[in-house]
Amino acid sequence: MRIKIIIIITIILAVVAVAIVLGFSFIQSLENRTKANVNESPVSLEITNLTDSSATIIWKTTDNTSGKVNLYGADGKSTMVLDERDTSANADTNKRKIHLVTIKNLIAATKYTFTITDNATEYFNNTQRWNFTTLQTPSSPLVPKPIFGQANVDSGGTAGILIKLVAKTKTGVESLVLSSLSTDNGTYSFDLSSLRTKNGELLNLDSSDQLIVNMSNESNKQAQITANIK
Amino acid sequence: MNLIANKKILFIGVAVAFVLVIVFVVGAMVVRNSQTVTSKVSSSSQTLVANTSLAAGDKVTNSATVELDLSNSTVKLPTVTLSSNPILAGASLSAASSVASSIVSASSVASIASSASVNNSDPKSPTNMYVTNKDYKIWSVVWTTTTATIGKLKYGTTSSNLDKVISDDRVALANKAAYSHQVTITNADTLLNQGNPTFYYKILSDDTEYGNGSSAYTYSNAPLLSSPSSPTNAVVTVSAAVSNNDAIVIGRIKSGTDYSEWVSSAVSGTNSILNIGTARKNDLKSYMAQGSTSKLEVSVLGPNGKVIGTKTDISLTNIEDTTIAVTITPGTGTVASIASSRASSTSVKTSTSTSTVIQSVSTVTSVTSSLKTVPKTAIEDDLSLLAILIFSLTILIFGTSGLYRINAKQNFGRRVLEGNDD
Repeated sequence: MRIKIIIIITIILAVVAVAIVLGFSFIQSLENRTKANVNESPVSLEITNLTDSSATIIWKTTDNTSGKVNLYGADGKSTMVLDERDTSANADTNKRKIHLVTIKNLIAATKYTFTITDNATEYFNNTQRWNFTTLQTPSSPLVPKPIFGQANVDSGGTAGILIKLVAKTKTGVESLVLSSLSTDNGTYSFDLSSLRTKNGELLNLDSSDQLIVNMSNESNKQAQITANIK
Repeated sequence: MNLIANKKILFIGVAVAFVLVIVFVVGAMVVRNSQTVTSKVSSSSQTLVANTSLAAGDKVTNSATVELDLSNSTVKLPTVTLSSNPILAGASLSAASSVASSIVSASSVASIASSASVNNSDPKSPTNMYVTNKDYKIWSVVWTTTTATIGKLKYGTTSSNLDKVISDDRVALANKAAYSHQVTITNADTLLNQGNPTFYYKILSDDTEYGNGSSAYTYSNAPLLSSPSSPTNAVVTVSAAVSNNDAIVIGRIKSGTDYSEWVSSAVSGTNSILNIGTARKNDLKSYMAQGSTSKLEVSVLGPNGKVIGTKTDISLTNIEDTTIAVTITPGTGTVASIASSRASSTSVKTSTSTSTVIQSVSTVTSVTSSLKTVPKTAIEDDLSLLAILIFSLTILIFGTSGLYRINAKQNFGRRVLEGNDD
């Protein structure tokens, strides 16, 4: 009888040992994850291309991460929006340092909140969600005014360069930021008719106004164009 | 009775062990989840460190100012080339930093980029600025000015407190006006020995501060690598001595389409020794390989803030024997040739070249000594885990056997009492 008891106790101890090992491995993996999060947190987050129905959220990370936006509606429900270049929520192979997520089909003059996620962790603006409010719908249709450009890189590829454009009038009024990603050959375009002031009003450029175009890539290389309007 | 008592003990043992297993696993998962929630909070106050080194010859191409006619049917901006250069010209770009809260209330909206750091009409302002010699516990800043100035570097490890000032590497030019400037932070600096610091710095040109716009430039100490750099040097010979040794040689290795970081060395007499073995890849995580297809690119920054000599595509094959002619840009200095050599650390120390090379050697020494204090390895962590496991098992075994003995004694007592009753 004693032998039976010893065998059973040994089995129990083995099970407990396995549980302990599993528990510690859980904690160890958790510690590793916590350390990694430092360089995966979003920085330099900006809301760009803000219109009455869309917004583009851009941010950077020190390490390559996958980046998505959890958009929260007024009902508290969230929708995951992927990077423009991703087609799957599980696209962990597409990890980057520059992230650009465009949210479409929004309601005009409505406040939205959002968080950033990399599949494993949800990031907040300190303890709160980030938020933005869509603009009022323009009273008249906009006439497109495209502007084009191209960027090279002294070493490395020309795809996925983050291009940001800001207009500055001679009276000192600044526009909201427009953003875009370059194509494979480094080309990019903007529609200047979508320029808005910080108050949400349309911004029509005039002579002596200024366009400032800033470019940066995954390797933190940069370039800038200052265009003075004739 | 004895059988019943043993069954009870067994039942209790199994129940206790089962509860322990459940509690431990659930506990571990709860701890895991709670810590994950904690890690979700991001302050977004982290600073991305900009690479502020310049690429030779393209200091203008990454910034452009143009006139734009919006009345044209097609409006096209000029093509520019992204590089590691700071933006040298153009208006400030701070528009995004103050987006109205009524529209966008995300508090972390950041400025787009640094504003112009260089006013080219100011002869004291730094031009041809490079961050060079990026190795473990050593880095240099090189720049030129179009008028002779006393150049210094003001720096610190917080952007708000640039409390240290260092003069030119060349003792003779430490407090003397010059066109070329090189300042090197080495492991002799206590700040470089405090973990892996990020430096903030501005250039002092005759005591006028020049930063990245209104901000300071930043540089993060290069990480310690597992293997030391190779003691490979390129000897640059200048045919005619430059007045007051007022010239700096910079160089980098090209491998395929990739370039290494820059290394630099001051000219002393007619020579300058570039320690190209310490040239790291752009990510600073390894040294640039010097294979048969690698090429060396060298420029000499000379008087009047000009690049007086440049040579690209210098083959690194048979580097011990090769002497390479350099095309000279007409100017106030002349570079005759570049001779490459694979020197030992000892010969570097005894060379007549600059302090930078000597400091690079001391870097290798610090690599060796620092390896002794590498954090715990994975194996050491596993051993810690094993020790905890053994300790936990010991507690469990003793606890269970103790429980068993107590129950056995109780059973024995009961049996004795039952026997007495009988």
